[in-house]
Amino acid sequence: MSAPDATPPPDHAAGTPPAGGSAAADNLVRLTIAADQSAAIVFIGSGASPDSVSLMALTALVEERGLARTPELAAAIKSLAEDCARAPGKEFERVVAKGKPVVHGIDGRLELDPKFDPEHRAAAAEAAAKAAQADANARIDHHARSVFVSAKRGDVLGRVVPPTIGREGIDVFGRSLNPRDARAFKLLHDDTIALAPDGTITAHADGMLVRNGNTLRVSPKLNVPDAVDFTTGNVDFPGEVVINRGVRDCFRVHAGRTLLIRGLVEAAELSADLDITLEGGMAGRQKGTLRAKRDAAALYLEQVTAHVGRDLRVGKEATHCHLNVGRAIIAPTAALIGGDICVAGHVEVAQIGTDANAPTRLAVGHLPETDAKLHAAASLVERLNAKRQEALDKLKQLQSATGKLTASQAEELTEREFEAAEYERQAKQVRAAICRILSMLEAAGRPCVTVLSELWPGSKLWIGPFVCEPRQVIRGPLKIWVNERGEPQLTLKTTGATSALSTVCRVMRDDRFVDRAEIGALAGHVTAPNAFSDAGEQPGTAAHAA
Amino acid sequence: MKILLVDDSKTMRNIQKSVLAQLGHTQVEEACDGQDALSKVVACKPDLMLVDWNMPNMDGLTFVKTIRQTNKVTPIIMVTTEAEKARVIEAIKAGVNNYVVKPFTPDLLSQRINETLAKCQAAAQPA
Repeated sequence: MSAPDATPPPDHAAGTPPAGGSAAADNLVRLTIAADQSAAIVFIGSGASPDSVSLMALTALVEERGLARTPELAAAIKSLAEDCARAPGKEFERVVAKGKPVVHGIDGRLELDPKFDPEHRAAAAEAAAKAAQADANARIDHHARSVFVSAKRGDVLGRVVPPTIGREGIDVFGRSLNPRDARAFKLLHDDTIALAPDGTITAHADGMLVRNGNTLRVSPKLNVPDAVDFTTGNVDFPGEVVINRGVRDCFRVHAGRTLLIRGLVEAAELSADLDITLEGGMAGRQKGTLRAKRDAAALYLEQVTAHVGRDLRVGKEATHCHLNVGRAIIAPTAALIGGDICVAGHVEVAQIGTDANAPTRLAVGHLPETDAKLHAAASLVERLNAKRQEALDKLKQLQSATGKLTASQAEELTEREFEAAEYERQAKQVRAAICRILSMLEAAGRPCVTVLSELWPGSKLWIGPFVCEPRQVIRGPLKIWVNERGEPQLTLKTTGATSALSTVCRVMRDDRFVDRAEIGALAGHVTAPNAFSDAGEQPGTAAHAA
Repeated sequence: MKILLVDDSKTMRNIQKSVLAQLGHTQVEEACDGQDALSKVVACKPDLMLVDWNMPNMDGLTFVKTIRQTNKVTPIIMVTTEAEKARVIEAIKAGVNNYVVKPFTPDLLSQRINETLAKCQAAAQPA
């Protein structure tokens, strides 16, 4: 379309017939303007008089309405007039003028990567669920449908798309049509988000991605307002997690830092790279697991398998649990009832076992995994020592049998020398590893058990190389410990009187666990003079400072 | 540091390689005789060579003499069963920096390697 002239547009509304004129008079010839003024259409009804559809009449019609005079308009009117002349009385509808459409600008926007976009994730999960419904054989894990979007430092989260500028248009009257202005997207963020000049958005911290309008941030803390259940799915979060209610059966919760659960935990799977605190306890029904790399605390634990790197605190009781604790169980108000409990350091509890003689097995100074490693390492040292001795014997034999060495004899001797040295080098490395494990165990404190209230028959206590079984209930406060000669002792805290534990318990040697002293001797381990100083004596002080 | 081991016995090369690994040297190239070593020395450009005396195709002494015509810097340790004084002198004259007689213990070989490298480093430093 050529440049429009300056003819002002008429005042009347688009589509209404113009006032006056023969063509308009019979209302069979009409000019209609599109609502957005981007097109003008001439309608000629059947039976219109030839005068009303002549070139002159039609030109007058469009001029009267103020359409921009352009060659295209003139050609369209001429063509229409000719067609009408060729077929008088026939009905016609013809677009005689077109404007240039306006292209509006598009606002800038935030485009998140699908895996960080909660809406996309929800839609994908929904689609997967539908697909699973359609396919009878398909299985879907509804527990795994997590609604929380977590990000790790360095993750590219998405980009800020710049605005697209619009293009001006022209209407059929020749007037400019201004495009709508496009606005840039202003991303508001803190230092947990990095925005590159090209619009790339990168996470600068581990945590949950939180979007609120134009604001985007990575929160180091995940606060689950309610319970972990099918509405939330499993939780796997790199930072601190707080769950304000419980965790339902079969759900998994992992926290990269600490995990605090205020409600009841059912047979779920909990893990944290630091501490786990259960304000409401855990009823594991033999399926629930808890794994804290540092400390754990619970009001109660019932039929739970727990691995705790350092200290476990229990408020009321731990019943029928499998517990492996890297340093200490600190539960002065709680009872250990039933189950298998292994602790590297000391135990402080109100009660062990019950008056119903619930079989409660407690091993102090032992951790099954560590014991297995020590046992394997000790066997390896013995094998390497035997092989070294074999190589040395051969070497001796060769040296004594030969006078002047031939080249091949010299090489064989070198080989034997090397073999012996190599076995010794390897054994030295394994012995060093044993010493490191023993030092680590010693850092957990001297194995000892403090019972503040009762130690019931039915309990079995492994301490040092001994297993001890109370013959009758022993009332506390008391302490069971091992003296320098490795003999289990009983100290009554009220009187301070110490006697051999065998006076009140059946005490037998038991090789269920490795003998640390024996393995230490094999590895040449020397116990640090202060290794067993205060840690075992004063739970919660020296050991905790380590 | 790149080290070239020249010995026709794979067992001996393995032993020497283990000793070198314990000393922290892991860039080791192997050759099974003097000729093989000559072909590898150009590409490998070793910083130290451990050479056996008695080998097929080209013996260790010939290899040392050939190398020393163009390269007087790279330290060479002769590791051999040849224990006579005359042989040792012959090797030293040919350009060997140190000498280890088989049978040897891993500790002895380590010690000779360390002292050879230390001497060469000291010599390379400007006075």
